[in-house]
Amino acid sequence: MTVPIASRSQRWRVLRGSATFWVGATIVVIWVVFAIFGDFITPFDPLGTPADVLNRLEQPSGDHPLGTDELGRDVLSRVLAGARQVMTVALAATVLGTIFGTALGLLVGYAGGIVDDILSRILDAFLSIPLVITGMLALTALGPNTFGVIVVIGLVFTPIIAKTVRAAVLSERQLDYVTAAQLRRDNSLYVLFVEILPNVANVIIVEFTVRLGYAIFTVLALSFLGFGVEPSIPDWGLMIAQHYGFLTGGFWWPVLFPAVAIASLVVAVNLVADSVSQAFE
Amino acid sequence: MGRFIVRRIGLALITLALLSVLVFIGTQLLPGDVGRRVLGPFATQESVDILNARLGTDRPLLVQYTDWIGGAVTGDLGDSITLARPVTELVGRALLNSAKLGALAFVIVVPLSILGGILAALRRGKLVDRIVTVGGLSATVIPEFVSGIILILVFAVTLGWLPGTASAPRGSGFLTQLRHLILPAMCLVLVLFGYIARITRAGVIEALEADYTRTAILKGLPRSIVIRREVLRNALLPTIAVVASQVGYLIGGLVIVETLFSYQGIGQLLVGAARNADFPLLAGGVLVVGAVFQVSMLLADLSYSWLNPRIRLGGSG
Repeated sequence: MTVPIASRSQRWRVLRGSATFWVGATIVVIWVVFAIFGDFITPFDPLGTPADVLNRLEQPSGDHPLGTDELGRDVLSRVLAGARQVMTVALAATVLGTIFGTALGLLVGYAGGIVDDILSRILDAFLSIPLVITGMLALTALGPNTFGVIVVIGLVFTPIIAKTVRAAVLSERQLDYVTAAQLRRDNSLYVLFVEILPNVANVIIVEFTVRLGYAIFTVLALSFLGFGVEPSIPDWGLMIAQHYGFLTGGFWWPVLFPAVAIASLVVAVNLVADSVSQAFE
Repeated sequence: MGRFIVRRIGLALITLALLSVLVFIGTQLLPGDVGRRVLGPFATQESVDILNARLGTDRPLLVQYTDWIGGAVTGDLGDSITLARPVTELVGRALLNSAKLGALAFVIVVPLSILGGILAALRRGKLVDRIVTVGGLSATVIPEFVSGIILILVFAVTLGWLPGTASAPRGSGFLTQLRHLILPAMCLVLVLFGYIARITRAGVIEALEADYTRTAILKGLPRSIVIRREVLRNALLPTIAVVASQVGYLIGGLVIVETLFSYQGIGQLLVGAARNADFPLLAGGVLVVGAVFQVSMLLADLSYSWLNPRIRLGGSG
């Protein structure tokens, strides 16, 4: 595009002026606080105690504002503690994908040619099946565990992010500062990581926030389907999976509250991603 | 145009071949000892060996791959371990069920999202626009099992208007079956709406700002005619391609929706195969899903280029 490139401070000003961004960011920050300090905030032990079995599926009340689940555990405590599981897994997967994707994109964009074509074909193959199915396949093959979820999502994100970074590198390569660096016979890796990388940082930031939304979605979908989380861990997807069978019996609280938590987090992250894209692109 | 088609089909085939290698790695190489993975740690070595011999997973990897892919081309994907039936038969039946659900979702979402996109573009920056764009984005990103839960709570549990499961009793008529499919289809509609509406909105805005629209308005044509004749005809072109390209999201959504509403489609089949470590069924199912996706993307590209005279008549394309 030939639109004059906005300066860094202008971009932040656009972002700061966006109501969408603030609404999203506030909700995300609240969940981050719960994720970090959940242990000190939760009124009951999220993992439950043997005595809980006496209070199975109790309606929301003064003692348990969001009720108790099928094993008598406090739903509020589990919802608050559940923030940690999804956020650490999604964040780790996105960071992994962004690091590898950026490195790969820089190299491929700089190298060009056949390497470029191969990457595009592999990306197409990966994208022919939905991420949830890729995740199920890989977790079945490798054995289900949280670490596997991080690796699989990070691995699938790698070519996707690489493609975006590559496109940005291709347009940077034409610019004078790169030519100058090459004429100066700077080391290619130096040019890539010290000269070009800071100039494609915006693209990477946008890509990161968008991918984080997808990662949260996928992590929760996989745990809902029963992949990648141990049954006792407080996880929103798993909580819904374990309790939606009780809905028709009128026990809505162990299902609805984690569902609301998921909806608030994914919508908030995507509002942030959307306003970041608009400000930075 | 001819060269474009040949090139496009070639690319789809290369992608599918690559996908088959990835699926093979995932289902035969990564699990290590397939027989051991299926039978678990407590099975005797003898029974593991017997299963590996029956599945053919004791042979060299290259032989296994060529055998599998050769069968796939002729429509033989082996037998499911847990269901003891040909994978092709199981996948075929499940795909048919999923197609019914997907078709219902598309019948609802396409007119709805196009209408929403057009309204948002015509009332740009107004409340309707905000509702369609922000609401659409939010609906797209909320996982299907969350929106599904809320739909079940409201329409099945509280109001009692619609059934909360997708499978109608055996032998029930078309209308009963349809009633059971409405809530699951609505989950898919919520996911697909935002993106199609956004693309429609962008297309309409672009067409509204184009020179031919200005000319038509300056000629003194009434606004409604300008919109119908000039704007929509040009704006809906990209939308058509986008609708077909949504099949990927649809299949991803089916995995979750079919599990939530216990509907016997391709999504539920794959989840079951993964849970039971039924590798032949999983491999065959994923490969078929990839093929369905590639074919729909191919149709999307071809229909777009056929509808777009700039590509159709462009020659080299």
